[in-house]
Amino acid sequence: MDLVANLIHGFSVALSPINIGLCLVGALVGTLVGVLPGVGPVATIAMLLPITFGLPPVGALIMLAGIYYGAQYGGSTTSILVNIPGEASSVVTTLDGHQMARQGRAGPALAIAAIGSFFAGCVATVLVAALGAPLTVLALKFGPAEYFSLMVLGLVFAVVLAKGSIPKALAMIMLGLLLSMVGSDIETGQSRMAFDVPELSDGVGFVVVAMGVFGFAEIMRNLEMSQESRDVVNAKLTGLMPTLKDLKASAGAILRGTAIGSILGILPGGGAVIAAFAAYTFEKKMSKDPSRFGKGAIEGVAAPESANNAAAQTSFIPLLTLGIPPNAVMALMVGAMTIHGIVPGPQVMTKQPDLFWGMIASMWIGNAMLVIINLPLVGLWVRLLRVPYRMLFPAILIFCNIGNYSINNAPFDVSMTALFALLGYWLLKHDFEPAPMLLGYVLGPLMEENLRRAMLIARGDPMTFVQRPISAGLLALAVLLLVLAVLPMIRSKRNVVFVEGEN
Amino acid sequence: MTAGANPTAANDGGSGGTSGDFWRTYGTSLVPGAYSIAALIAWWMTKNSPGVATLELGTAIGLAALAIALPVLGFKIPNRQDYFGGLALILIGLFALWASRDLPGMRGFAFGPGTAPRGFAIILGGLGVLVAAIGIFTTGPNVERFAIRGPALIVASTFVFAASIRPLGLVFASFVSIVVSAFATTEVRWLETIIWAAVLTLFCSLLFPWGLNLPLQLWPNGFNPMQLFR
Repeated sequence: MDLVANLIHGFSVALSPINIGLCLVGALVGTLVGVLPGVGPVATIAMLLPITFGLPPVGALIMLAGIYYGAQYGGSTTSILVNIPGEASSVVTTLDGHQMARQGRAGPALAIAAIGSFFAGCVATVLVAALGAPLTVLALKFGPAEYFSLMVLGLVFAVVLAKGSIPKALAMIMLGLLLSMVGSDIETGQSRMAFDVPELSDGVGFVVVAMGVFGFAEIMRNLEMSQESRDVVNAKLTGLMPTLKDLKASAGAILRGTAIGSILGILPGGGAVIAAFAAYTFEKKMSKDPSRFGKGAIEGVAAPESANNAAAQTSFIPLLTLGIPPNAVMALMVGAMTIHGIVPGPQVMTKQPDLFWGMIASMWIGNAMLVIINLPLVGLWVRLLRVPYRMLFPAILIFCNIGNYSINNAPFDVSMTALFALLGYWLLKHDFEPAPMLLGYVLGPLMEENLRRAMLIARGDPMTFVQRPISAGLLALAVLLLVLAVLPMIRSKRNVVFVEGEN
Repeated sequence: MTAGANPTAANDGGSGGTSGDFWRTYGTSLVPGAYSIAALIAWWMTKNSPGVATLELGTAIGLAALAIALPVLGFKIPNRQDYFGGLALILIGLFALWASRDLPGMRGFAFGPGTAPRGFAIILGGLGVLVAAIGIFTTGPNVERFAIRGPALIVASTFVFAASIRPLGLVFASFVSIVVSAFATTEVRWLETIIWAAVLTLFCSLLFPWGLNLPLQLWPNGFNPMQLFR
């Protein structure tokens, strides 16, 4: 009953004309930017963060959530139409989605992606609402030691699920943690690693890091590939709606994708990415005729699209209840909340029910809007994709710069962003994944504070982390995960060395 | 941090030219050698915390040993991407140790302001050693070519914007920085760029100060072309 009452309260907040408008604008702008090739949700949100600063907190977060779904959906659109995944979580969508588009079935592919996402969004919204309350109760029992261990577990998850080398992902987390130390110490107020630069006394700005490492570095990367011709589907989009046969074929896939996505999304780390891959693989295994996959099977679009949307939404659960962002996008949300003076965590639900339930309700509305606005607008997105990159990137760049400047009216922030862009470019060249860095950067101050408190309470005895049962359990899980992930890697690396020795 | 990027960026000095060959042969020694000197300087400047100083000296010796051992043994680094990446992480860790050298550490069982930064720096350095070791003992890709034109002009355009937004106002700052950034690609066309920059500038001057209500100054102080029409 509580749940229903809360959801009704949430809808009454989210359905106010202003908030619906913000959700709509967010979803539209999010799609608009997300459609641009090579710009994923993280970059999109980083770029668009500044435009939400003038809004009241509830409106701003609703708009950001809209931007997130929009960007995610925009990513799928480019996967299907141009064969360029806007982000990692829609990589699998390219496999069958683009094939469908080549066979002249881009319409049904886009429609089924929207319908699957919408269904997944509905289920995930209820799940977020249902799990929110009990998890919050649990979170309120957590002490500093438990919180610290939980964050360690979260970071380990992020490392294990990230693609590529584990030591490199760990190093990126440490780099993020180290970056977050710049500025003033919370307890003593002493300036740390700021070199008496007044602009650094508050630390390196969150938007500066995110925009530089994700947005600008991505542009630098894309410029290297700009000569490459884009395979935009030129065929006229006829017959947007999927046939009854399509719907029947994809119903099961949508259901299974939603289930897989919902579970994997709660786990920290690249939830949406893993979810999409897992759902696709699962669907291929389930299918009576696996050879159809990769040649335009509609289940191959429905399953990963439902899964990544469900995961995108359930990843709000750890953020809203525990205050711990499970992935880079949620880390951006933390940054946005902090700028509005909201400390994410269990107290959000009790102290700001408007914000908590309003945001959950707006998730559902945002999903509904994606279906309504995107299907008629597909033609527009296709046209946008034909705009040459040499005209797009100066526009992206100047919007970022103006937005970035307007946050603090600080030219210093703008210049710093350029330096972080170089760092991001360097990281890309050396195959370092920047997402764990952003996570570490956001969690850094929280981790330090909880570690300090836990150590003070335990009178300097580090054993407190393994003596408290919940904390010990979380840490044990973290160690286990890390060992499981590292073991096969060491074995394969050994093989490489071995093979080399023989030659 | 970006200082770490430079030595590897120089890696692609030329394809097949003498400087390129020189880097391919000696770069794997010169980089740790240079970092070793940086570590020595850090050690020399660290006066208040003996523990940190010892660590810095140790790193300097380790890096120097690596720089000398490679040419002596005639060892070719099989995975340069991870090798240079790991070395740069060590340098960043060193930099953080040096930057936080004067912060007080533990007092009894209470954390000082320097405890966490130092801890993270040491772990980062350790992981750097691990990544560099992976670079030495496994095969892997070479460092990808670094483009110069794109990144340099994007950074330049951002700097231009940062430098001119206060004194010149939004209109001039955006127009100039858009034109500069357009040259980041070789596909740039003069006329198209000028027109496009004008359109974008107009759009930004309408969207940000009016549409989004952000307090941005449009023109330089005491200059308003609109007055000409009043």
